[in-house]
Amino acid sequence: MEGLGFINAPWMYIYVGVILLLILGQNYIMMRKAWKHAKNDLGYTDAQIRKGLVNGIIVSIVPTIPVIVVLLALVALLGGPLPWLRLSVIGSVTLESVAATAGIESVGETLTIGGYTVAGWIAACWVMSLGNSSSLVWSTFAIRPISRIFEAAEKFDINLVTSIGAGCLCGIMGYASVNFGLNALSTKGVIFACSFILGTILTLIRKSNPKLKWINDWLMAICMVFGMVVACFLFN
Amino acid sequence: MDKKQFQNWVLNFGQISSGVLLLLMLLFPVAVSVVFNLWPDPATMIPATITVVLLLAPWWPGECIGYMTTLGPGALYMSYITGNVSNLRVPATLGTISSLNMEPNTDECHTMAIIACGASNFTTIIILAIGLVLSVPLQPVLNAPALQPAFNYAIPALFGGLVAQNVLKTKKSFLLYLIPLAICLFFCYFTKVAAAYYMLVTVFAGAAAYYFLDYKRGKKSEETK
Repeated sequence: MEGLGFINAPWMYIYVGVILLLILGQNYIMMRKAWKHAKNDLGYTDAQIRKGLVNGIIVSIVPTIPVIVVLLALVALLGGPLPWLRLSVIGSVTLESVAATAGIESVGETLTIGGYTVAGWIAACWVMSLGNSSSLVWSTFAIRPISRIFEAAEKFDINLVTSIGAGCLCGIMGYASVNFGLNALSTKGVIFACSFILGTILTLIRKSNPKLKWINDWLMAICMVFGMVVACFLFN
Repeated sequence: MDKKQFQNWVLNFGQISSGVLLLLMLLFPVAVSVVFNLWPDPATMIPATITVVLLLAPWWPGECIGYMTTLGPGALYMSYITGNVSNLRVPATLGTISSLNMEPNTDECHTMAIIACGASNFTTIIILAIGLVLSVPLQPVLNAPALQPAFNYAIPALFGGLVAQNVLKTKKSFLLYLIPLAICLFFCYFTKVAAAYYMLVTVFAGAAAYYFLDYKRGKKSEETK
């Protein structure tokens, strides 16, 4: 890739590293505030809060692996810093590749090794950054008013808001069942169904024996691993 | 700190920090262009950017409204900054509130969502950084043919368990789940409507089902008593 030596410039790695450290700092500040609020105002113990922390870690490890696979593929094509930044910040596994392709093809080149020049990489850099940052523009300005609407509704009737909240979650579960499983019945649908069946069995076991609280904590991880193992047997 | 004070702090800090990080994000391509004196052609770049925005935009209202009750504003701000909201942040948060038996749209739920989401963000950022550093030795493992199905189907496997854990709490919750599920399946298989649009419809359908069959019925039986 002639003239493209700059795409791995050390200062770009440092810039990305600084942004990620700032994000981790933002997360740390919010988590610390939430931890204090949970402990001092809501009466949760450190052990209970730590459970939430550990659960967040465990559930995120394996689903990050597909993101790494996309990262490595894009690193081979676009260098290190740009894919690293894009997939870590406002990242979307599906849309980063689309944005990169849209950017490079806008100058008549292709997202392949040797298929683009400096102009293509710059276009991809701008399109990926600007295009996907639009989500952050939305969230920066929209979350507050939407949150205020829900708060106002709570003052009106808290039971109503709790019920609507449960309904929205129910709707999300219906959507997730189709979008992440049942929209491809012979492939994703099979794995989703296997994982759901095991989840059902574990839930029934937990309900029949309340002492088995650990099932609640590990159910998702167990179902996920089970589904992945089934996939290796069925689709290899 | 009471709920209102905490909520105000979350909204203020979340909005300001999102704005700052957005600015830093947008400065990356500017910095590259300034340092190397390489600027894109707006005539070709703008249409490509608009294409990407149009792909993303339909998801925003559905995600924000649909996830607000479970994630809350704090976790939503954190999720949008790191991305991968539906496939990483939502499962991490929902798994946590399910295991702690929390009701959605409560102070407890939104507070714990911040912790779960933050933990998820830390995990993803650190794993990606390690993945980048180890990219050469990791390639053969991640590209091993025997393991490809496991990685390709990790998300459906994750959501199978997550959905079971959330909808099987009571008979009523399972029966009410069937309504948005049926609507979603209808849109998926019998219409050409994009997933981002029927996500919003499904969320409203779930909310409507609970309003009429849970809230209204509950009120009626209270009045009868």
